[in-house]
Amino acid sequence: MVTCMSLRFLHAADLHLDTPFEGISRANRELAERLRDASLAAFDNLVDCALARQVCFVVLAGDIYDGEERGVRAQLRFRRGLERLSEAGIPSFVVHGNHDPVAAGWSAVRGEWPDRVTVFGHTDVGSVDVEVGGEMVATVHGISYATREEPANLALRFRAGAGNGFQVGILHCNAGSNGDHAPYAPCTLDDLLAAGMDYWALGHIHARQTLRRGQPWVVYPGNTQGRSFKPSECGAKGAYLVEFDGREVAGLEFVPLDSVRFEHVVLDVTGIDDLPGLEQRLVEEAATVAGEAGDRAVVVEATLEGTGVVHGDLARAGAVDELLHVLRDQFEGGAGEVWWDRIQDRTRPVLDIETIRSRGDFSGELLALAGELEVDPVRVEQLLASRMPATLVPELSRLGIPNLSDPELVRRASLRALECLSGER
Amino acid sequence: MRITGWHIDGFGMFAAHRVTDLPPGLTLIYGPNEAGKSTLLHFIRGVLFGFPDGRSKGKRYPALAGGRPGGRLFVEDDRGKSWTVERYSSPSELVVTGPGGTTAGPDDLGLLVGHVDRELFGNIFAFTLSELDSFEALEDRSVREKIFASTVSGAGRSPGEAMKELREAREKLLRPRGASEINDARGELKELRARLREARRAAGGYGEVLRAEQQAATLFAAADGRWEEAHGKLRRVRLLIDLWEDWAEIAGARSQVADLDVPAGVTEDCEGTLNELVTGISAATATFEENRKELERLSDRHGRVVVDDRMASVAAEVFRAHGDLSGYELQLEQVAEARRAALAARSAVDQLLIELGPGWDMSRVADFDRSIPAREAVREWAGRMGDAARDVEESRRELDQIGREWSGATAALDARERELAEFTEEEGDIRGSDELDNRDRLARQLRARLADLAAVEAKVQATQATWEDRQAAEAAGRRSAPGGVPRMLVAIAALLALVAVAEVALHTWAAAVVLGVAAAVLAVAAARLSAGPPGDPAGDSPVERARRAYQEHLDRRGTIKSEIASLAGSLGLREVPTADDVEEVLARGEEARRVGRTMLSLKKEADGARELVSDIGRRREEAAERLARAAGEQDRLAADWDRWRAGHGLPEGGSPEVVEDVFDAVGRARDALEVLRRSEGKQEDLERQVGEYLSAVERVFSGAGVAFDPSTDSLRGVLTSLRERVDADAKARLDRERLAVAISGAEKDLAEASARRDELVEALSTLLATAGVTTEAALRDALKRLRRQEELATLERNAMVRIEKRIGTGPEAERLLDEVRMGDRTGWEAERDRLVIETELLKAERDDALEARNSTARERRSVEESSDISSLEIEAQALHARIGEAFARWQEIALAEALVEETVGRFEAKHQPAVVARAGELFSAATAGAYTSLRAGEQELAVCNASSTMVDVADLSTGAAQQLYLCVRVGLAEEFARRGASLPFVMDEVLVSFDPERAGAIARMIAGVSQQRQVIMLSCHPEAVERMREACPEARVVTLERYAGGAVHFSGGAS
Repeated sequence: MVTCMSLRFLHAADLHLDTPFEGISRANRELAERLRDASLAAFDNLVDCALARQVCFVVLAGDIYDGEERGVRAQLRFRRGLERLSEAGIPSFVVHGNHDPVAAGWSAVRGEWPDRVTVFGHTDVGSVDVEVGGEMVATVHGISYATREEPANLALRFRAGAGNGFQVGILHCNAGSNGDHAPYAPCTLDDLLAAGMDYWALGHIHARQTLRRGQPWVVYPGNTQGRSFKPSECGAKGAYLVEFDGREVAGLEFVPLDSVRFEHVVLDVTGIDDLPGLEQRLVEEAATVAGEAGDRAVVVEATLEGTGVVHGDLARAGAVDELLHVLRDQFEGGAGEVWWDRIQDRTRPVLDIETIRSRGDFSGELLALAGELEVDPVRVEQLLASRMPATLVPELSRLGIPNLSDPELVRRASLRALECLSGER
Repeated sequence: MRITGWHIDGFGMFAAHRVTDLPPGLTLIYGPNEAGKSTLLHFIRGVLFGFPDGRSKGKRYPALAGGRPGGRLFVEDDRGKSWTVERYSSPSELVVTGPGGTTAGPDDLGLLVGHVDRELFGNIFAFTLSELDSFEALEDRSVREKIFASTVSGAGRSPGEAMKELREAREKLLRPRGASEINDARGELKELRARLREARRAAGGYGEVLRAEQQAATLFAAADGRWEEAHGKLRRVRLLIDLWEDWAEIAGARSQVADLDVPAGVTEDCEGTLNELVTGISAATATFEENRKELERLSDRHGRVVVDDRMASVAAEVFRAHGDLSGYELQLEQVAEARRAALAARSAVDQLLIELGPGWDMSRVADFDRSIPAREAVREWAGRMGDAARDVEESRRELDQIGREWSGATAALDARERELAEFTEEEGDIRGSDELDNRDRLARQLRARLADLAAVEAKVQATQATWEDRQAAEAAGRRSAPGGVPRMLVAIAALLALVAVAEVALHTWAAAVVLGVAAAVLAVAAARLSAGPPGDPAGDSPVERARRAYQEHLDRRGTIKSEIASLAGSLGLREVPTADDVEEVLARGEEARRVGRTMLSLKKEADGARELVSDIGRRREEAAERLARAAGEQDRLAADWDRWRAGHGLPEGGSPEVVEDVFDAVGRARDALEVLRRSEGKQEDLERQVGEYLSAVERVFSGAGVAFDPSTDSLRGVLTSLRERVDADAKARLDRERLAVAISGAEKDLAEASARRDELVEALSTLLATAGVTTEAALRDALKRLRRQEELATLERNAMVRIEKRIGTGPEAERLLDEVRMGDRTGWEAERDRLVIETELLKAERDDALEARNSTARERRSVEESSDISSLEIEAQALHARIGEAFARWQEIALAEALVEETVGRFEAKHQPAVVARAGELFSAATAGAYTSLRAGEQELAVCNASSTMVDVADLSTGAAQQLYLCVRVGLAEEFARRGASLPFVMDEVLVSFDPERAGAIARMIAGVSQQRQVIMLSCHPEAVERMREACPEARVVTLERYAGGAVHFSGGAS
């Protein structure tokens, strides 16, 4: 039995247990195993942290599971984690979000939930007092999603309790209408302020952020494990350790819990003479991100930009893959290692575009045509459609792979054509 | 680029065919049919773009006239730099050599030809009449692309090549059907999704799996209970059956024991005792019989043994005599040998005494002193006398040698004296060397003075001429006639003087003098002619200076002449000697010196020889004295030796060496005497021992009663026979003693065996009485019954042990035993059989329930622990990402390809009108205005005639169409040259279908074209060549000869 030495609780959200990872192009066996278990390992880290830091309680603000079709492995792991907290005398408070709404039938898997576990329902906001040493120190309020798409402003249903305890509201919502996320349980900051809470433990937004510092604190802790190379998924992931005194937040500490870290590296190749030089620079970048990640495995995506002589080397067929192969050779799946997932070659040839454009020869004519296409996406689509198998279009749409026609694509294509004509590629 | 020449190693009928220095304009290659014009066209194409191989359709030209298939083209780029393109077909090889012999490569060749390929070159620039007729060649897409969109530079590609490469890259990523990166990934993704659906379906059924597991566990528990109950019953009835068997065995044993009657005196020990007694009696009886038979056998043998007492009395002597027999026989041989040795020793002594000479006998030999000091004294005498003899001999040899030296030295002295005497007679007036040196010095001074005289003579003449010239000049000056003549005279005088000097140098004194005088006369004349007025008050006029110089040299000449006269007088020469006189004096001096040196040398040699003769004479006298002294010493020693020898009793007249021989002979005689004494002693000892042995043997024979006659009997035979008789007697006596001892032992054994047998028979009688029976058979029967009783008791005990092992002891065990005692085995067996069937059925039911429970548990654990969904989703996401990436690349490449393709179209549309206009212009000129312009559609050409009517090309005559296509080619070539490269035209027989008027017009057009780029025109028609020459008089004509089976030659006459 852990004794709560000081008043603090752990706020996490968006565990997405057993979540699939997006955009990992190719992983070796060791990395695949680490990725498969990463979200579960992050949850284990959360429990370990709660036990080690002797928190008074733990709040989990929705999206515990990633979806209805997840395996029971995640549910059993979750149950086992809550059991460990319960056995240590630490209460847990859970709400369901859009990924694991109540209607999906999530249960305690085998029988009842362990003691000291509160899973808030979807009909009304539930409230539970937390006592420490026989004294009530906090009241936790929460409500779950009934279905995946929750259109209601659930924040409006919250009201702080009458007691003197620290008031915590748990809600999975899109506060402030964040356009990058689904508008589930939409609410405004004012809606949240009106509820009289001391701390809003929110979930749903994967990039951690504090919408309001001070009474009341409105906090998104982000997800506990990154899942892709999207900006919101890269970098450290974890939970907030909240210290409170009476009804005041005494401190907010971010605790990284992720098992595998995603990082995106952008490297300008200007001044790099050859592939060994480029490899060296990438290794240096990897050392930097690996140093920040501690003993975690780091999955890195690199984008190479700029103009330079190394562009010609990269343009050679298979050169990027060979570079990746060399970089990956170092990976054995151990702590603190870097897995190079992909290298995007956005480098440009050393071509004087303006001179070529003014020459009036074939290349200049080609650049003139490219200029027209940059502002004519319909024509671009037509040109591409004439070369693409018709059956592939709906399939790519289903896969969510964009059929680009943007100016950037035209620019890249024109550069490639010029390189090809000049014999550089 | 233009072609400046070629060298064909081997191609068709060409071999080692070379043409160079082709002009930049028009070249006409003229030759009859089969001269190789078309072959030449294909050679040019082949060297530039490769020869057709087995895989291509193009005609191949094997090297019919030999040589390596292929050759070189000499070309010049647009900057006037020379290149060589060398290509061979077998083996395939391309060598490109750039300006200055630099090594170049295929890329440079590509640049040189403006990246034109074989097809374009053939279609536009190098064509035959048949190819000219083909509009399709001009419509070829690649031709249009290259003509209108040629932008390449450096190592770049044509748009067609770029599109081809982009298309290949695009199709690697994605194609409608078949393998491609995206299609492969899609296939993998499809398969993964199916597996993912299955995994999700399994996860969704987790609750059902849980319930199934619980139900299976309940069913298993019930089945297990039923099986356990039936199995318990089966175990009990099987136990009863097993117990009943043992119990039945115990009851049977007890019944049999009761029926067996055994006498009280019969115990287990009786059997052993009985067996021992019966066996002992049998053995004792057998031993008794054996002992009795042995005693009888021994007694019989003892009675048959016989002995001889005489043999026993002489046995020891016989053994000894027989043992010494071999020694006796050896001694007999030694006696004979000793006698022979003594005889030989005596003969040797006698021989040595004879060798020593008369007066020597054994006693003198024994008394002779041949001690070491005596022998040493003799050796010393021998040494001293030998030394004296060697001294005499050595002195004699020295004297002989000195005598030979004296003879040689006196002969040499005589020879030197004779030679010296001859010289003295010839050179009796030789003077001393000082005088010779003085004459030589004077001669050399004289030679120098003569040279000085010649020089001063020339100067005298020259100054005289100068003086005379100046005098004449002065006089002429006074007559206003300057002295040209005097100067000439001076010059002649100087010339003569120089010649005179030369003559002197050449020792032609006479000519020199004549010339010198002539020069002097001329000089004086010149001086006189040029001299100034005589009364010049200053006295320093040129004439006066010349006169003074002349006078000075005259004085100098006089001085030298007097010196010469003085020197000539000292040498005994005439007053004015010639150079030859002087040289002769010098030669004579040199010869006198040489003779003097020779005489001096001979004199020294004669003096040396004389001194040597004297020295040798002295040495000869000394050697004679030494010889006399040595001979005296030798005589004295010989006298002393004679005295010493007489004093030692040695024979007279002997030298020390002879005495030493006597010493040796006396020594050998003494040794022989010693041998003789030892041989005679040994002979006596052996004869005594032989006699003693014979006496002893005769005594033994007498004691044994054996007759022996040494004259007839063999001692060894008789003695050996006696020895055998003694041995046989001794053996018989030993046998008899041994048999007596054995008989005594046998008698004792027989008595003991009899007593033992009686004792055992008594013990057996006692045993039977104790057991209460009368016979051995009765006792053995009673013992058999006793053993059966014991077996039954053991059987009962074992059965009880088994029973207790199964059921233990105690009340329950007793109850079971009671049940067994009163039970029904048959009923139990029926019950057992029924229960076996029942439990097997229940067991199968239980096993099924257990498997069902385990299966559901495994299924539940599998679902709980399954990571399939995560793993599969990770794989699916990876594939998704790969497809996305590949598609992004595909979009870029596909759009790049579309850009190039679209640009080609635009470029063509933009530039084609100019080509059409230019071709129309040329066509109008060629047809003298019959057609005014040309229009191009998508797929066809049309011309506008003078009546402004459009005429389709298909409606033109063959000749007109060919003219049109030629014009189009020229237009295209000009267009290509604007962005690509200027390439030469190579045309084969393009004028043959044209009428004279049109042919003339086309010839003029071609001549005009040749002003801009090179044109090589091939024809077999003289009129075509002539027409072209009319249009372009500066054209070069290269004539080929008809192929006649050998190498093709050409006549490269230019017009």
